Amino acid sequence: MIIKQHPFTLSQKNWLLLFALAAVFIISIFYGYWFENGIGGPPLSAKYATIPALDEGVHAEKYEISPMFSRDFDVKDLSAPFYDEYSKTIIIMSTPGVMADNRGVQGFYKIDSLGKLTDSLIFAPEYRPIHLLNGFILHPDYYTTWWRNGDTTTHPYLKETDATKYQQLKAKAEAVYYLPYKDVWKYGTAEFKQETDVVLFLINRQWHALYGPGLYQYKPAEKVRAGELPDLLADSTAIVLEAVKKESLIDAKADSWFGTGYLYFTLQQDTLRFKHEMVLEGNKGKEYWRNLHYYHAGGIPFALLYSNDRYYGVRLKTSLNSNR
Amino acid sequence: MKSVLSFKLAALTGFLATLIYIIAIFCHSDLGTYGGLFLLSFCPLVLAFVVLWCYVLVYLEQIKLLAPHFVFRFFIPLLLFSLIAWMGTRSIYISTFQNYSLKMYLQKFGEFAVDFLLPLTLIAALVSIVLTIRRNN
Repeated sequence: MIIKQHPFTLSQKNWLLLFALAAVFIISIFYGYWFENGIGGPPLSAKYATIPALDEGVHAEKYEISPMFSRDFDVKDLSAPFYDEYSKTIIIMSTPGVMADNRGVQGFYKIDSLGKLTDSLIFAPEYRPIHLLNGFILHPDYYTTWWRNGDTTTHPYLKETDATKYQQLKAKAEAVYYLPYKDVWKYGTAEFKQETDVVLFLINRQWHALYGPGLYQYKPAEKVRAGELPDLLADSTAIVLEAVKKESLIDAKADSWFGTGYLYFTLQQDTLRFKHEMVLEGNKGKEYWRNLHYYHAGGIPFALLYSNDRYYGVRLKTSLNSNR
Repeated sequence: MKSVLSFKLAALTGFLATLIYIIAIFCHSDLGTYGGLFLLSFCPLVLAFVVLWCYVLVYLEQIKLLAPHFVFRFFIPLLLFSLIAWMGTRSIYISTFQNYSLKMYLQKFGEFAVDFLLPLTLIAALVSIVLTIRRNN
């Protein structure tokens, strides 16, 4: 019997090659699942299995955490909350994003001291930023008291043009707000070319505007914008990270992981437990989290949590029901 | 049997493949304007690559390494390029240590499939269809 030198035909060899490639590809697909799926550490206790995420709503005896706005609304860029001591209301601004669909539209959402969304004010496309301070809405051309009393009547600024009066006005003012010329004038106007900055002074419940080039340099350095509530998460003892479940490695060198943190929030006698996706760092001795902000103004029974472009209200259950 | 591929046909294939590539980029809105423009700048390379792909297949069939059949023309380059793409980009989709469930793992692989396998499959199908119908002319 003659032994064939080529036992396989060309197409048989091609079938072999095809199946070999397919096998290698399938093995490479599942390699990570079969051989790299597993992170050391004790398994998480079963009691964490039922803890809800912020989106699902967190309930305790007196308080609850729930999203402030509906899901389709919250995707817009939202500012940090601004607080007015006098009316005890919070305003959240939706700042016009560069890539946003409704470019230039600026919205203001008013939340009362119990955490109920009570009013909103939308400015049609206005490319110059509108500012908030001490219960006033400061448009580059006028101001309103809508934040404090719901009145949308526009008031003109009392114009001051003598730039040397800056110190004198500042000494009298309860509040000062600095606007750089780029935020006030349209591109190409004479004032824009002269770089005329504006400083606003609140004197006897009246806003005065002082115009002059170079005034913006007097603006003191500030950590948070004037009127904005600071993020209290780092200083707060109210929110505690209790347990952590690592899910995937981000960077081996920095020992950073993506995972789920199990947190609890103590408020008077209530303990609100929730889980939250976060970035963790393993080798620092203690785990830390990102992507969660906590805002609370002293004196109101309501706090805000912010994460991934969504606001969550920490509210009294009774206040929610009575207001509905 | 002599099999010649006219340059016109190869160039047309490359052009259609580049169109698939451009459509794939436009379907990825998450790339942003600059990411999209960056990838669009590779269009000439894609065209040249697909023309080369056609000629290499013709050559391999002439030296009797590849059987002249649609199945092989389609699957062998597709599997090879998919393997290379997956090896090159898997760290973007799946981290080296993870605790994903099978469902989550497949979901992450699905993202890769949409980004790379889908356009690659379309281009491989185009090349093999062109090489198969060319003989009839």
